[in-house]
Amino acid sequence: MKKIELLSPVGSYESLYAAINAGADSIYFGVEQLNMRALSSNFMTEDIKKISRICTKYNVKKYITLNTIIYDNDILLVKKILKISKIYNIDAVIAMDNFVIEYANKLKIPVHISTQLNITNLQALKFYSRYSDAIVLSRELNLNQIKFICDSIKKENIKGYSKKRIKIEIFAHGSLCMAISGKCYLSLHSDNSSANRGACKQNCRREYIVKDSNKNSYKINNQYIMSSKDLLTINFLDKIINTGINIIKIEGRGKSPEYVKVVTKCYKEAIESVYNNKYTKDKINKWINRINNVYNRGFWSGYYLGQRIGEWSKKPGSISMYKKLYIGTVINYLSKKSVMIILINSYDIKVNDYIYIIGNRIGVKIMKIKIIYDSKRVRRNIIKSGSICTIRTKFKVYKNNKIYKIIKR
Amino acid sequence: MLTIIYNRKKCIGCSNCILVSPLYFTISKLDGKSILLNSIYKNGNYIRKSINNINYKYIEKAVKVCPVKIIKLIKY
Repeated sequence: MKKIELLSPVGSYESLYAAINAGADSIYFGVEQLNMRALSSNFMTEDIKKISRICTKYNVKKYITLNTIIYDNDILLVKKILKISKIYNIDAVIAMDNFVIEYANKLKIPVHISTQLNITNLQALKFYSRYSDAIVLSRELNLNQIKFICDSIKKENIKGYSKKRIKIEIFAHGSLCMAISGKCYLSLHSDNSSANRGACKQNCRREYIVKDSNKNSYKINNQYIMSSKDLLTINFLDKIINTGINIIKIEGRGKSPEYVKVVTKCYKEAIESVYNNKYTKDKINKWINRINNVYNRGFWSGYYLGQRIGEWSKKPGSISMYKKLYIGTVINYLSKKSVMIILINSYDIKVNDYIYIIGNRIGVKIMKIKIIYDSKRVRRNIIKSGSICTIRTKFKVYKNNKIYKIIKR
Repeated sequence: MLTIIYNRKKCIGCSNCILVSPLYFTISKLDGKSILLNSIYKNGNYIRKSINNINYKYIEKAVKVCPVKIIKLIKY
């Protein structure tokens, strides 16, 4: 039985290495302004070459997202991005606009139909299968509906553009939209900033007071009236795999590298254990605990188990137990002594602190500080900001890697 | 006298500024982002200085509608 593919989000080089180190089978990223994270994703067209090279080196598939609404003035940029993607062997383009799909077909780049197109039935899937190789189903389907679609594909042997059986992809983890998969106008009305061009200002995440025209204010349990909780499927991943889907996707290109690492790693382990028949409740609880420590708004199972109304978060941002504080940067690494030299820019660093080391080439590493020496090689328990210190590490770090302290919220 | 500063790198090509002040902004067909007309490139920003204040209302509107807040207006 072929294992399902784990698709991780990449919004920066740090996340890219974090995803690769955590065991992602494939990654997706966006460039320029034509992707659904135009505000937070910082890759440019020139980065395609570098990302492609890194992914090829680690044998990870790479998909490019090009799934915003496209206007006439964007056509040349779309063509440019797709041509460069073809040159650097990008494995697929995640598309929504018909022009993007057609042009990718012309260049013979495989197409994945974005969830923005809201494929919710078999007939729509058949239509798009003529132009694509994988289809991301709508997030509003339940598992029975997904199973029906997957079974029908096998029964009718529906083939994609490349004459192979069409793949089905679903979202497995991450933020959910209060509107149907991103089709939301709130941000456009309030900030002239269209969510469908990747510039969502997240109005739904704010606290609201509900009043009527008679100025009666309503008392409600939760004033975050439309801030949806995050999707979590690790506790019923066996059911998801049983439906027969091929790819599970983690949302979060705008999120931090440690989120990408922890979530990818947990889902990777979960997938492995489902296939090895070692998927137990103890393990599930451990994974959920680990995921709880990184950015989340509380969890629910989405619409997969057939729930009618969404569940809403009760806090503005993350409710995770821990947060990170920027401490300083690595200014040198002595490989003979395996010691890193850090310049502390803010706060202080103590023995027994847990730190993240985040950066290019290493992704995310977590370590506990045991011994610190100051710049005069004197052993200290605390080093204050503005000074230089050395810490021994078990792994190689690189110059300009960033150091963060993990503290309780 | 006024100075318009436009940080083009962060533009997301929503073309709101072109709708409200077409005399100052136009869209580039090369990369789908806005262009500040008659501007000079300096330190990552596009800068245009103008002596007459007649059209400054339109620029102010552009500053207001920009979703990524990359247009700045300095009045003397």
